[in-house]
Order: sequence, then structure tokens, then C-alpha cells
Amino acid sequence: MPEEVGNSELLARFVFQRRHLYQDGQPKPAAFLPNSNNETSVSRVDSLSDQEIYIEGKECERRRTDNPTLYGRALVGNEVVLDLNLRTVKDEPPPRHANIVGWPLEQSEKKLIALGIAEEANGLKY
Amino acid sequence: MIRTLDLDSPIPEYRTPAVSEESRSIMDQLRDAIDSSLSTIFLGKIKMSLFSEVSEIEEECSINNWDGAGSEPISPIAITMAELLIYSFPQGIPLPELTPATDGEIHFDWRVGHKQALTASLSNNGFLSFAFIKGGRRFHGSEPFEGTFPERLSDLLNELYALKRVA
Repeated sequence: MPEEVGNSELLARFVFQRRHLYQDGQPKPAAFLPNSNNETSVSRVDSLSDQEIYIEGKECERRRTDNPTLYGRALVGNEVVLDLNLRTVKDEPPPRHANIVGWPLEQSEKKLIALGIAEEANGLKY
Repeated sequence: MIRTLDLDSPIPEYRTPAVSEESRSIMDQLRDAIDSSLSTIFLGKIKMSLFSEVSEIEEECSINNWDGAGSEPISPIAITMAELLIYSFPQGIPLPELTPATDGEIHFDWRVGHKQALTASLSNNGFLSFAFIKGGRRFHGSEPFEGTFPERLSDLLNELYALKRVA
């Protein structure tokens, strides 16, 4: 059974698609939509400084094989995820990695949850 | 003297005390016709800019795993669906942002401010799915798309932007 992430832990969603951020750095809902496994990949960044979060993002960028560009990050507390009836479970290695799981299958419901997370997130363009 | 038409300037008011009711009516009709033409030109410009964004997304995202997260490519059908939705835009519609998404569709995003947003996409099955948040009010749904911009979406956009009716 995967270990649950703490209720109030801070999560970072690193953004590798430039169109997933608005001009002001706020994430769009698409930034949080789950992948084909119905999971959204995040990093647990509690107690990290902004600079350390950036380094963590660059580390994610380096690990990926598709030569992506890190465009920004969106921070959100796990309590937001839990309030929307999803869960975040640890998925290491790599260190700090976790997945937001429990997404519904219905498209518009997914959109509403992703929109709810995006609107509570604190986004930053790099 | 060379005169140019500045499309951004308001149409000047022509009022003289000596015009008859009939002349005034003709001038009003003329002004309405010009207003309508300018709106059409403006809507045309919006659509052209969105079509070119769709083409850019097609170029960037038409391969498997385009985002490195195993996402479906944005398929030719998804491109056509997005173009159909743009074709159906009524006059006065606020400009959305286009976003390729992990589900292989192109999402249309409208955002006014914190917790005031609408996101929608047209699926390959011809249904438009959407989600809406305005303060504490939030809901989601889907509507069949039959070539005209769905009234429900127009109403939500009007509510979001507090405009008079879009369609």
C-alpha cells in the first residue's frame, strides 16, 4: 500500500509545457490534469526555499529523456487535493516524488477538479 | 488630403438640427451597418489569431509523448474539433487561451481572476465538456456540439465577464 503524503505538505507541479501557464505565471487547469495512468506527478517540497524548489525542478528536467524545458512551477498544499477528494501518495525513487491519484474518469469532472487545484495554486514562471 | 479609417476609434456622431426623421433613420441604419461590419472584422481577426495558434499547437504536439509525460498526441481530429469550435464563436466573445492537454484535446481557457474561470474542450465524440468556477459556485458538464456555439457556454461566459449576452 503506497504511503500517503501528509495533509498539509506542500506539493510542486513542475511545468514543462509553456502553454500550461498564463502570462502572469498562474497555472491553467491542464497543468494538473492526470496522465494516461490517471496520475498527476508532483514533488514534495515542504520546507524547501524557492531556490531549492527551482533546483528540484531542474533536477526533474535533467532526469527526463525527452529533453524538455522547465517553464515554471505551481505550488499547492496537499489539503487542497484532499478537499477535492483526491489523494497524494509517495512514489520514490526519485526522492520527493509523489502522485496525485483518485481522479474520476468523467472528462468534465476531471476538468473541474484540475481547475479547482489550479485556482488554489501559487504559480511562477521561470 | 489622404484620409484613413482608424478601426479603433469610435464612430463619430453626425447630428445637425436640420435633418428630417427619415434622414436620421437612414443615418442610424448606416451606423448600425458600420458597427456590424467592424464587429465582423474584429471577430475575423480573433478567429484568424486562434487558427494560427491551433496550427502552432498541431506542430508542437502531434507526436506521442509531446510533453514527456506519456501524453496522447494532439490528433488531426482534435485539431479539426478546435477549429470547428472557433468557427462557431459568436460576436463579442472574449478571447480564450488555447492549451494542449494530456487527454489529446485542445482546451479553451477563459480566466478573469482568482476563482473566476471557465475551461472547455470539444471531444472527438462531438461533445463539449466544460468546468466553471466563479467564487463558491462551481460546476461541470457536457453539451452536444452541433455547429453553433452552445448557449449554455455563452451564458457562463456572460456571467464570468458580466457582459450583456454574447450570442
